[in-house]
Amino acid sequence: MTHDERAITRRQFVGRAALAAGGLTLGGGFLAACSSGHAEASDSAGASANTVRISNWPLYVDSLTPQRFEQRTGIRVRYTEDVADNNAYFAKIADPLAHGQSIDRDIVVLTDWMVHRLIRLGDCAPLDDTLFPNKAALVDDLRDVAFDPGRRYSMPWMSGMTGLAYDRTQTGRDLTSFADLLDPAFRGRVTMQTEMRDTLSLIMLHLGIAPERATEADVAAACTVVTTYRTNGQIRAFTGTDYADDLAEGNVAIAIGWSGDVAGLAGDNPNLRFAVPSEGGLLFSDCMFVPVTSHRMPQAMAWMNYVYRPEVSARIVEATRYISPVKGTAEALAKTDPALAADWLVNPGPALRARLHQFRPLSDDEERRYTEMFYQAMGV
Amino acid sequence: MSAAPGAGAAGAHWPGRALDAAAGLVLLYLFLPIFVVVAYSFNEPAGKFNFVWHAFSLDAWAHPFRYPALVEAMKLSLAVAAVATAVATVFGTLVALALTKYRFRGSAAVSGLLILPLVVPEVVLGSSLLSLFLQAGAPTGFGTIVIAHVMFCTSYVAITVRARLRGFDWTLEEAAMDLGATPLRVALRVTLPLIAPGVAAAALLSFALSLDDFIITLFNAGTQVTYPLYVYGARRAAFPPQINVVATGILVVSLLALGGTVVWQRRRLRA
Amino acid sequence: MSVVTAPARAAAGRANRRAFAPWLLVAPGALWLVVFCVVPVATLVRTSFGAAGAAWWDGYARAFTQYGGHLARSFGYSAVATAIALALGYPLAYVIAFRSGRLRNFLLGLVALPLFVTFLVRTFAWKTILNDNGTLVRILGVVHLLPAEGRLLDTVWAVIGGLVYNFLPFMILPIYASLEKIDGRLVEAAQDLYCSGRRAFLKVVLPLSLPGVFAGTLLTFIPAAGDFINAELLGGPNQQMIGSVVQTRFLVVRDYPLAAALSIVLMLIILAFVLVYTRFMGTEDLA
Repeated sequence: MTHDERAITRRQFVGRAALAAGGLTLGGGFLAACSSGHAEASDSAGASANTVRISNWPLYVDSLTPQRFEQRTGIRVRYTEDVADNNAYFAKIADPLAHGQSIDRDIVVLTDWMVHRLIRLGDCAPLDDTLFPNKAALVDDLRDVAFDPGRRYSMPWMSGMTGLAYDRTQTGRDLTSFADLLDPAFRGRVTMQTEMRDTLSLIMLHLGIAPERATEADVAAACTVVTTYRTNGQIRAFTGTDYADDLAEGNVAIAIGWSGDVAGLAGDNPNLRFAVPSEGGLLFSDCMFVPVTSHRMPQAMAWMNYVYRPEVSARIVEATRYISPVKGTAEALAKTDPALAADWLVNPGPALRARLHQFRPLSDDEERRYTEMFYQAMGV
Repeated sequence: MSAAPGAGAAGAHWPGRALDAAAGLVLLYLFLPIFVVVAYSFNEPAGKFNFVWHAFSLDAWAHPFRYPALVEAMKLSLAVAAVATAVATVFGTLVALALTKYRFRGSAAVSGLLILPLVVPEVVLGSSLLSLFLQAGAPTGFGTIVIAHVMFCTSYVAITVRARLRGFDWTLEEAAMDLGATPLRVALRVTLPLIAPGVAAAALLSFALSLDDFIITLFNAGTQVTYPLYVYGARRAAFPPQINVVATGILVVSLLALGGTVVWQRRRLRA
Repeated sequence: MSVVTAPARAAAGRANRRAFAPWLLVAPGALWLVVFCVVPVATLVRTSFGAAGAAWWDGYARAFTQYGGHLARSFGYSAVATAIALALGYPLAYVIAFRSGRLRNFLLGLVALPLFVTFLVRTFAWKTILNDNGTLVRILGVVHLLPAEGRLLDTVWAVIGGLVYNFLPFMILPIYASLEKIDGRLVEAAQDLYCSGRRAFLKVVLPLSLPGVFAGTLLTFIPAAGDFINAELLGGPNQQMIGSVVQTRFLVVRDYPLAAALSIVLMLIILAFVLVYTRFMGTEDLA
């Protein structure tokens, strides 16, 4: 067979293979587009106004709650787990909301400081308390937060504690203070958070400053600590949520981390512990708010009212291992999972809660300046 | 059958074997993470993160659709890739044809235009596109993702097809037309079959790029979630083995398609 | 008579069509790129000049003074990664093009296959492989290639390794495309003229494969320079690349003039490099 004959045969075959592959691709893609478009069409047609469209973080709810809610209220739930990162999500919705355009959502769950920014910008609709009797079930220390006094615009979805997540086998002892994270014995095996408020709060508490009253000079001092320990190799990495797998895999001894992550990891590795530093820790909440363009306040309130039932909240706690903001959840949880209900990670007592702080709400300008300082300190 | 270059070098078995071994090692290197991804789809993580080997389990395979958000993300990614590839292949091939067949005054500018999506970092492309959509008042979502993907895929297709078309014998077209064929017939019966392999390779590349794209999509997806965006986000609370299952599934489908064409080739050669 | 004039008429018709043809073919793709690539970039340039209460060049000044290190680091990493990818990719492309026989299309498919596993998932897999307590690190420790307390993750080499890995197919495929078009008879001719295998390669195959090498190196270097995922997932805080700076200034700090200036600077440096490289390689077209 000459070179040319062989070449043409090869071309023909590849050509036909390409056509086949192309056909499969287009066919498959077309089907996929059709089916998702179909779902969209039936959604907007059949559901009309009696739907609640929710955006939340991935795996932040149990599998039963959405469908039980539908059965109970007759309101359809369109639940999307598309919140990957506060800043990324904000970048997506900020401008549409500013122009009064719909973002196709009735409830969004973002971390408290980001919800504060949205409240400042006027993007959050005031909640209709008349449709929300279970609002009274909100725990006391989250009722009158500085960024949303009286909870006019937001309600916590779940709370968590920021503290030290560590591997007992690597540290050799139980940790008690933030100074442990700066201990040279753990050089290169320590991580901090990319979340500015989480990291700077713990450092400021260690420096004797209350985050609720931090000044720019305080923030700068905390950032200097970050720079020092980054350049001398103490801090191995600044992580978002991936400190969890670093801990699990043994790459890291101590991390600034969150209570729910450790509670989830402990199943895999009982040596992983969580400690709230003696100087103090941080209490954060991921909060639900209703975008101002939603126009489905009754449906949104129905959802909030439902998830503020203790037994529902208990279910969510079981699935996510974070702290419920609903009073009576511990009792409800004790019926189904007493061990979990007694776990202080999921159910911190009042003494512990007293040691938890919150970062003071910032203005737009302050936020920008402090964030820039922090990112430079992190080496980005 | 002409001997392949290198194979016929006098008495030089050693370089040949060493070369094959080196190539094999590189191929192995390419697949090492893939093995890991596949292997960990059979892991039963004790916690919520699939990074520590705990126990062998078929549970994730038994319930691959346990996370509906993941399924929706996958469907969206496939749909976007299909549409973007279809459009970009057409646009890109037409541009490549024009640039290689004809000499016209704008050709240098068009060449430069093609390079742009490659030269501009994805972060820049993504964010500048977003600001364009917002200023135009266009809601971000499926449409904007496809628009963004068509943009960079067209570039890749055009460049790939153009590289393949170098040295192409265009007189074949003229010959066909001299024999009375209309330009349309020439395009369909002469040109298209001959450039098909190059176009197919470019389409494959475009599909892969679209499925894979993270940064540009991050900025322009609105509230839509593609598969890469889902993976990036699932890191926050848990990384279930179903992600590995989906990744393995795509791999298996691609392998089957590849194997299918190889078998087809054998059949054709025998016929 | 008609037999003589028909081709002439056809040629005249073709000449007329030919004047419009390239523009018609180019229009859809070119228009799309202009609207969705050029216009946004132009908007970005305007944004970079808009620092509030500061000079128009403020963003650029800060880009160089505060982030010069990041820029240098990014280009350094991607240059090294490109060189390594070339060293790894060329032999594989060569073997597939010339020594694989019936396996050729199958091997090509294998090279492209990793691209069908999401970039993020592949990079996370490297986190597992390079794990401090993983097999690889343990082996390297035993063989003393790594100090006792050493690690692979959160180091320069993990980042470069990630960059090499993720862009390797983009190096291999263009080189293969170039090699595949080489007519085997040219090499036979060289060998008939008493060339050794190695000389035949250096004098015939290598020069003819340069367009592929050119394309491959560009398709590797440019995205690598702007990448930030590998550095974020595999590297430590002292290895962060300019892409991370750009992304965070856009999404987190929201300092748009600075972010835009950084992007433009990155883009211009890459453009300058491409022009110099093109001159050096002697190819006239950029693609």
